[in-house]
Amino acid sequence: MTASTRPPVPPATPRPEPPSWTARLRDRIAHTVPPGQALPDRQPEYVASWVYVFGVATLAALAVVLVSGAALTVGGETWWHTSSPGRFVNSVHLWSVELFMAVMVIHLWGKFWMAAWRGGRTMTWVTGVLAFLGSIGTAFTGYLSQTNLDAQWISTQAKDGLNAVGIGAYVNVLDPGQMLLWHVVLLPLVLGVLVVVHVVLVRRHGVVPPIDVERPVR
Amino acid sequence: MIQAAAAPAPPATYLDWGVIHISLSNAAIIAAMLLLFALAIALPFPVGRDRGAAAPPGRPDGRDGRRDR
Repeated sequence: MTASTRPPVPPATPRPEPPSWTARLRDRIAHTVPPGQALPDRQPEYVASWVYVFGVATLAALAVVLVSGAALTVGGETWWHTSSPGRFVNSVHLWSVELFMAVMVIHLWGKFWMAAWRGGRTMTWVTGVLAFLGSIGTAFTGYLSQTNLDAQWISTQAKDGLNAVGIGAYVNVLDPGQMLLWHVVLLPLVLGVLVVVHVVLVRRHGVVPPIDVERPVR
Repeated sequence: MIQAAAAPAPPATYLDWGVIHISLSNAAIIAAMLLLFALAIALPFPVGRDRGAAAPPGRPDGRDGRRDR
């Protein structure tokens, strides 16, 4: 056996610990929206226009929808059909939904005509469109959950359309239990996630400037 | 009370224009939305005198809506 002529190996330097998942998540959250832009107190000059009001008006109406809807779940159908407070909350829920849909559509018109998908805002536009479609589904299942003649009429009319496109076995509008659970749990969850992602993307990329204000991107 | 809840609503008035068949109330709501949209574009937005300097175009920090990385 001969002696080794290789130089001595220096002691290995300890490798830095890989960041834990909590550190990675914290870093991800911190960098999702640039510093100071989660709740900004200044906006560009062009945001001083009524057209830019309808997005936050949609969020305000949605808050009333959620609160009045939660109150309806506490009282139940006999409460919202037969008592004065129940009918009042039922009407608040209906009219806040009407307002929500109206201002959301006006928001959609404004964003469409200013091509709001410009400047890397494609996903902001896409999540807005999906939230719009989700809102239609949530409102539709709400009409089916009224437990009155109107709900029965709408469900019997809608079943033919859904059967015609082949999804009637999965979306059974004649099943009040399924439609009520979709209305109060499933679809609000989906819609809530979409709205949160949409708002975070707006804060991440900023409010879209008018077409004639946009600067060339280098 | 249950009887009142189950009572059918009076029939709605419908407007017909070619293939378009729409209730008067829905048409009125759509007309009001269009009017509101036009007013939102036309009317000036009130700006307080004590507001600070506006942020530059694009984003409040001067960037242009592009991703940061």
